[in-house]
Amino acid sequence: MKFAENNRISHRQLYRQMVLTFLAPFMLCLFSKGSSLGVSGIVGTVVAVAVLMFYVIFLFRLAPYYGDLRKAAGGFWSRVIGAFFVLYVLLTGAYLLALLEEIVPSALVSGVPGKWISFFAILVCSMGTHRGMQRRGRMAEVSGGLLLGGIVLMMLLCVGQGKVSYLQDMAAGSVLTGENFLYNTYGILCAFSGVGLLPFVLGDVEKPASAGKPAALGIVTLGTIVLGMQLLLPAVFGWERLLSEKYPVLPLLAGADLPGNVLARFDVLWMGFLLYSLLFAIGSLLHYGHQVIRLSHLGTGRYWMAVVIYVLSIWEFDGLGIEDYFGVYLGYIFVPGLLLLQIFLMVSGRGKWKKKSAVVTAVSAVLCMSMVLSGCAGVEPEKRMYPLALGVDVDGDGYALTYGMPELPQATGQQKPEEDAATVLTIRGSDFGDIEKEYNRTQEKYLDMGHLQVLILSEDILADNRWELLLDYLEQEPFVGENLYVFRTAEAKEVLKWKGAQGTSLGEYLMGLLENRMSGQQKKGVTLRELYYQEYKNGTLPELPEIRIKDKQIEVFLE
Amino acid sequence: MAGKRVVRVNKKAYFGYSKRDVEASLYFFYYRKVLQSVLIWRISLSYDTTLRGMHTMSRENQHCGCVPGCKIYKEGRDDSLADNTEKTRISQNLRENEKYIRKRCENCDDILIRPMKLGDERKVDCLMVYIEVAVSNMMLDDSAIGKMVNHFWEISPDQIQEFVENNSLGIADVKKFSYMEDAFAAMLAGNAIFFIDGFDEAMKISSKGYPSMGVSEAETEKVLRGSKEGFSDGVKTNSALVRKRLRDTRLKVVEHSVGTRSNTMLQMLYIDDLVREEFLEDVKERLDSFEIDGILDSGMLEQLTEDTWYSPFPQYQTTERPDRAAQELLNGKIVLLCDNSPVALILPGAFNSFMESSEDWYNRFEMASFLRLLRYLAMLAATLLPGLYLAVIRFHTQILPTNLILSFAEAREGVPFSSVVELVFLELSFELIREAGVRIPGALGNAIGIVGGLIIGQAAVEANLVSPIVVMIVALTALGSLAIPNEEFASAFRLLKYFFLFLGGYLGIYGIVLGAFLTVSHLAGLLSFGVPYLVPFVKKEPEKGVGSGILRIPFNKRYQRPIYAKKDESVRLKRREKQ
Repeated sequence: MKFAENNRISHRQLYRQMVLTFLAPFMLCLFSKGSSLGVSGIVGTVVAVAVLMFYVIFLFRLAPYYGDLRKAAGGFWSRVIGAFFVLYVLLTGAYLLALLEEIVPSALVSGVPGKWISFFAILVCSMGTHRGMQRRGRMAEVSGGLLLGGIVLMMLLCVGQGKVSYLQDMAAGSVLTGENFLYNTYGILCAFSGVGLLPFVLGDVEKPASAGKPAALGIVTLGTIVLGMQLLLPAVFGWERLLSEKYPVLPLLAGADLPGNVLARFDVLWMGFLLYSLLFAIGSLLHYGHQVIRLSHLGTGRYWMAVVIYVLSIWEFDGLGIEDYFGVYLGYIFVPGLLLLQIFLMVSGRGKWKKKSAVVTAVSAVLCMSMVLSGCAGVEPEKRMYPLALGVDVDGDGYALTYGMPELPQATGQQKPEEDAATVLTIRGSDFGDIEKEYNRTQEKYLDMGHLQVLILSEDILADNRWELLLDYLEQEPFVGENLYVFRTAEAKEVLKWKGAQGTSLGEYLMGLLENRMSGQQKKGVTLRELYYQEYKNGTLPELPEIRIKDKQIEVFLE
Repeated sequence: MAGKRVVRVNKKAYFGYSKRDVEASLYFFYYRKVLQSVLIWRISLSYDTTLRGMHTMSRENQHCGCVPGCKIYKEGRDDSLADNTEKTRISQNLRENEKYIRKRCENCDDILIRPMKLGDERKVDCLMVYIEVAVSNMMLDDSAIGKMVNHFWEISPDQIQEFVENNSLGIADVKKFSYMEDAFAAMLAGNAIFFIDGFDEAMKISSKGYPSMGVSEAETEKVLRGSKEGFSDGVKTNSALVRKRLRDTRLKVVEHSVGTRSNTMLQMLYIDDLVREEFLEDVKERLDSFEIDGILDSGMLEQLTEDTWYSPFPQYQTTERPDRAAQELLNGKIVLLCDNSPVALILPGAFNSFMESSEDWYNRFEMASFLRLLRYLAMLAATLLPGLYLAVIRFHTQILPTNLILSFAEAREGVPFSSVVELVFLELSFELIREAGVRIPGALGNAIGIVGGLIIGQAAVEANLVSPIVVMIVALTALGSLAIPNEEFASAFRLLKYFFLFLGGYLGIYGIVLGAFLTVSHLAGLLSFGVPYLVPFVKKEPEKGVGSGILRIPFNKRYQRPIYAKKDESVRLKRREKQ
């Protein structure tokens, strides 16, 4: 007799698996371009969660039939049901992998091709998924709580960025109609479609009869987080901006600050949490795929499932990938089909059912090879240029961008007076893309906009509405923080060339001017996020603080 | 008592005893000759077919017999390889015995074969065979052998035989053998073997045994508070050190021999009413599951019997401290001691137990909890710091305050290598210094550490081979790994560090997340004797009053044993009611 404490997973492990699996897909996919948001989204979520409670009860009554599909539905139908679920698993897995392939290179690790990103992901996720449920249960238990805690903490940190007026905009802008309500409710239900796989797990859960409680709790937890995001996102970004953001969750923390200035930004950590959950979701799908195949006597999916998911995720037909047609498949085929099959199983199963009843070296080699093949995308810190201030001016029909760089010896306190580095760089071009190309042609260092602190707009660019193009350009730059301060000036070039008495750069000087005050005396600047908000709301700009130079001294007029 | 044994032997029990065991017991009785001839004939008929089955039963049934009622069992030698070898009976003729011994010990100059004439008229020919260093100088030392030989000088030849038969000298651990193989095994274990002319048995007289270091301070598990004693190389000394702490006959010490050539003695220690039967059976099964020529250290045993051979994480907890072993025995775990190894194996092992130090339970709970938290942070630093550093400076510079990233950039100016190469170079240098420090004796080892750490580090920075920040990262990583109490466990993280370093360096935070996912997945799949490695973080039912989590609970709240102990013996601490 062997000691086996965890032959079956506990209720807590089931609950954490549910939370961990659904969290990132919900966060990333539910709120794309305003869907599931607004008043109808909130009402839809509440109703969907209530409906899902009944669905869970239904699933628990179905669970005995899933134990042996052949017994419950017969040889042919068990294969049909199995194939249907496997198809769902494959397409959902491919969709999530494609999502990873899209967001990681654009928002986190620029320079590594998306195909390699998804290749690494499927490689890691597929390891050990054919093994018992206990392993996944333990994984979820040990990391689910941490992840949930981390995400809730990040959401709480974002609360400070929210504005009540933005929420009021949302209430005014989103109309609760029957059509919207139904659309959003069904959308949430589709998002929860993975719950349909629950009966495949119940055989591995201890005290399965009472496992409905953790399942219901999982749905409520996820519903609450979705509701929280439905309030948080419009409060932070404003309603109009959300209508055009594909993944509004990604820049959510781009403007949040941590006390103590330990980290300048922690949106990277936020992304890390989301990615972990996404990887777990893909791994779970693979695991359930194996379960479905086993229970429906379809052979083994150990080797081909991961390959098929990967191929589906990168395969494009007429320029359309899985991410373009997955929604249609989910809404029109899978969710109705799932319900029909489950009802069929219940009806047919009642009559028949009588009784309840490492290739480590190879993987390492592939990993090492792929690491080399994926290329080295990182750029060393000394080979980057860190503009702290960006001045934008018009230059004929084009633009001139002036980058205000800090002097390294000054900024780091390592005085080397003999060095005289250029601190201001102006590049002209017909548009911002052209300027970027020009920069890459003429400058040896990589332009790192992640530390931009102030944006200074000339009066000219403000006058003829060309700032809209600038905002579009900045929005596409994922590393530009949304908490940078924006100013206007009539003397952009002179302002950017200005140096403080102790060699302080303009960026640091202006930041200090706004932030180094007691809380009551703190002056209020305008951030980039507020510019976006105003632009999306009514196509205008808020009143910007003005910078003037008087007797070689910078003066900022905030009102 | 004697009659009872004979009845057992006659009826059925010889199937439960090995040939040697049965015979050894028979010689204690006066009518041994008759019974012996009958039994040997019967046993030899079924010897080959039943030996394997008998072996196990014999192990379970043979009493230590130190005191009445003692349940300490002694195990016989693993005879699995002896199955096919015929044993040589000891002759009554001493010359024949001597000839056989001399032939077998040819070119073994360390084995001394000393013929002597004893008795008051020097008429009795005797032979003493022993390993030179392992046995005391019998004439000079105040040892049992010395006393025996001196006594035999003064008595008549008849009395000598009588003394030997009845052990009238009262020498502890005297055993008689009828076969040369058994006598040799005893001699090679460090005892003296005594032959007398006209007597067809040899007598083992235990002696000081092989030289060993004796009890010394635990080198790898130093504590500020608590016993300074550490395990030594001798397995019996080690079990005595544990017995010293748990003076209870419910502490069982079961001996087992492994290695067909090394005949290494193992001792399995457990507390009879605390240990789960399934653990005991599992351990016995695993010890019997292999046949190897030699086991020279507990590390070899560990690798032969663990669940997942490819994992870098140790699945047995190891300790050099008897108090730690005793503590774990009280938790219901099993301790395996291996001869010639000062490292005891504790099983089952769990992630959290590797992060505990024995002094955690001697210090106040606030400080102990703080230290445990610190160790977890150290573990994260030891594993993730280089990878995170690379991820941040190569991909996510926005995460750091501007001044800090500018400092990093300034510091790296002029370094010819990429930051990945720079970090790998310095990490490997540190590994070299560490390895050199371990191999070089005593104070010189410390000097190497200082020379390596300070001088080479400083020179490397000044030569622009590495940047100062990288020196700091490597130093912090090294400190982190040194703060992990178990060296073997720390080694797993030292290896993982390189994995994360490359992932972070080439894939940024995404790589770190991939690595973390893979590590958690691997740890979630690990079992140690059927117990999930991540216990208590993944236990099914919440444990109260156990104190096996990260934070140490106050001692008076620790009233339960962890899941390793039998459920009905789970209470550890009870308050006595006031009279």
